[in-house]
Amino acid sequence: MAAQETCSELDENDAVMSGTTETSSRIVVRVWLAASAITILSLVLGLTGDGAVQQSLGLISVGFIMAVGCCKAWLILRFYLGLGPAAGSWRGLFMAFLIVILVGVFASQGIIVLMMP
Amino acid sequence: MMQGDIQKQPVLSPGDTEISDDEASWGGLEHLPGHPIMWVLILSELVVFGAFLLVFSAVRIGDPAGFAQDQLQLDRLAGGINTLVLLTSGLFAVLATKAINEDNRSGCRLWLLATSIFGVIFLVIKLMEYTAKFDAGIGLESTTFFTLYFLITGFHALHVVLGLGILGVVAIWPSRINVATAAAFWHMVDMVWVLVFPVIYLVR
Repeated sequence: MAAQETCSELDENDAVMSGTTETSSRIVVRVWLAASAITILSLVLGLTGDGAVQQSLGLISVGFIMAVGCCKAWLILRFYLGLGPAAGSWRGLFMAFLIVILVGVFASQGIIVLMMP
Repeated sequence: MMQGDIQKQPVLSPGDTEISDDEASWGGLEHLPGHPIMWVLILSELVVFGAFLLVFSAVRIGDPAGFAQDQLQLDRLAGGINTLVLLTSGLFAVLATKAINEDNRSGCRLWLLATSIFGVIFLVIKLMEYTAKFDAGIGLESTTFFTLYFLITGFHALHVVLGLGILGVVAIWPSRINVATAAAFWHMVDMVWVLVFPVIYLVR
């Protein structure tokens, strides 16, 4: 019984350890394509920031750029690192880290906008 | 040791490093890919980089116009290309992990080599960026923005160099645990950059 439990535990560990065995190559390539596409999108938005576009968008632009960054970070955590639900509370900790960065940058931008004459 | 204890010993692939019972209790870190000690390092690095980014954002509140002016001197295209380069190297690291899980050592080494090549490309682009800044008379002490820019991106570049070293060592001894550990570190470097890039290069 104990050996059986250990075996199932090991199987679960192996699935998490390998990460990529449960995430097929096709999914990983799709994730890479999606991350690359949103990188180009945020870069285009960033490059147009010299003009009036980004200024007129203000907080929305910053929110979008940061959301894209955090989205890519989450994709890396979930599909490159293989941190699935089996990773438990550690997965939540990483999500909290991303949220803190997102909220911190967004809040600083909000303060800058409020301070503008 | 009792018979029951023997049955609990994990079955490891040839070349895998065995984690003893003493080392097996890592508060759940042992369930993450790679060796748990790497995750201790990853967590501490994320705290450091997270603090850097929050400090950068906080300091920007004091001089938003100056930061925006200095940011215009950054090569955002180079930063964007570097993001794509690291994302691609991360993909190769995943494929290296997949190859070793299928006991394909030569395939794993090839993917690790591809990962390393893209890591070197990242460093070359970063070096070109730094050279352009130095040629323009911009240094570490020019402004607060550039102090933080060089500090954060330089510290990240050092991690890329460290990652290349780890990938090189793992390519010599490509076991499942070694490759998963190296890939975990590389993905951390990758993940940090996708956060550093928008905060320093794009947000205005």
